[in-house]
Amino acid sequence: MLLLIKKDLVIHKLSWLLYFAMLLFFMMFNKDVLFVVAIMSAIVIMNTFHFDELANGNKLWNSLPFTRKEIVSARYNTLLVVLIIVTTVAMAAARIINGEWSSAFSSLAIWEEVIGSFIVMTVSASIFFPLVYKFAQKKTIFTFVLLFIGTSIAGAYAVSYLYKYLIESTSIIQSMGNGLYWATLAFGSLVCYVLSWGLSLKIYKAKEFI
Amino acid sequence: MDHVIELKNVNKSYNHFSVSNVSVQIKKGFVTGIIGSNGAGKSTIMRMILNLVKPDSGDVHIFGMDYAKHEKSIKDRIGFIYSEDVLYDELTLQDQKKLIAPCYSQWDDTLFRQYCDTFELPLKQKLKSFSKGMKVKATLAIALSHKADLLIMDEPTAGLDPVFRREFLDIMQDIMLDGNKSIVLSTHIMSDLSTIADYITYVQKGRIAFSKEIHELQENYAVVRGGIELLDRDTEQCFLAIKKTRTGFEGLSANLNEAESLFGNEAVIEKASLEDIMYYMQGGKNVAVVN
Repeated sequence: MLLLIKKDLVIHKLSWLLYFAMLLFFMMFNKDVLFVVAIMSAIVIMNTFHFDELANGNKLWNSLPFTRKEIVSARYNTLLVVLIIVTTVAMAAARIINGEWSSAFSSLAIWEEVIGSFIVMTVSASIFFPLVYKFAQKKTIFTFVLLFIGTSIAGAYAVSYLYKYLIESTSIIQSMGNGLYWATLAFGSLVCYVLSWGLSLKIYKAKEFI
Repeated sequence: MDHVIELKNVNKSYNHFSVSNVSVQIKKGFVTGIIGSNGAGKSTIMRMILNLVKPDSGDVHIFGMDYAKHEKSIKDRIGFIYSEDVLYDELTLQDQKKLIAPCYSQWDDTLFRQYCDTFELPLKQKLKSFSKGMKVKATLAIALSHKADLLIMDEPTAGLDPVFRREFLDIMQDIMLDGNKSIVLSTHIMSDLSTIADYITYVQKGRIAFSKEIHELQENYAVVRGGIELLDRDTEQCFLAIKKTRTGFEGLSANLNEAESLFGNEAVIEKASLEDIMYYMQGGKNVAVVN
């Protein structure tokens, strides 16, 4: 499985430079960590699907000594690895650009933004990964790429505005505490992710590579 | 174990096409050609052998093992070549090798470099700059470098020029000098097979029409041409398929000796090529298949 995760990261090759340049660009324009991590992770992971689809990667990796379970599981793990890489770089960039561990204009603390981006990505992936495994083909994969990136951006704003709304208009967060609020959301998104993982496995095991 | 592949009562249905009750055994150490016209079901059978498509029912055993329990160890011993590209265009062959090599337990880097030298493949050039023939060679170099016992090739020469096809078949012959390898090759280009195949399995409308030694086919199958007056209910029994005109007929017989004793010098009797066999069995224009 580690080989498959490595493959998912390596096939981008020099595109990584472009990804990091984009990340810095967004950070320079005062986008918060939540937004930047969500959009960059979405771009990287969906490009992985895109590259695989264009190269008949499913046929290739299913002909090599791997099981379908390993192939799907590797992709779910790859997203977590990508999240760690992108978050680390984004936080380092925030530290350098802002001189402190926070985003310039975000109302959230940096740790809340990190958890927020985790929630956005796991929920978006939970919805899209099974759909991609079920329906994506060479001709349609790019549409899925755009939809996933769009959903991730919308998700980033939704998480941010929901927090703001709950703080300003309700007493939910005050009563349950910030830590519990984010932990509940993170746990919920993790459950979604695990369920989606199982669904993707079921879909992929029944898939035919023609 | 004499058989590298064993399919038993395998069925697979799609909306407008099905592979029905396929039972076939592929012998170890030989080249087996799977032939049939476009859409006959060759690729579906190949994909079931590779576990890319799962049969609705029936058993698929590779090296005596099934995919449910031994998927990784089976695939570790298989090399594959497809008619379409399965390599990443943006990577160099060297990069692609780095991704694939660790997947196999018996990968031999020296062997890979030897094949790249033999096939004149540039390691540091992006695969998108490779011609179709070079891509097939690159896949072949990868397939051969992990010392696969079984090579499965689905239409490997499709879309290639005749010069490269000849070169490819020469490479196949060299591989078979090893004696331990088995090759299963599906194609609809008969000339590819007549030089290298030991066995021929003919797929027709999703069924195995026959699976025989190529010498048996070449020795026994004949095309008979003669006047229509030579045909009657008894003589027609000699043919697998007949094409009749007002004055004459052409027929495919699976028994050259019987045809010679029946028609003697009154008809023209020639050994059938694989192409002839496929044409008549397929029921080419105006050919009636005799049951």
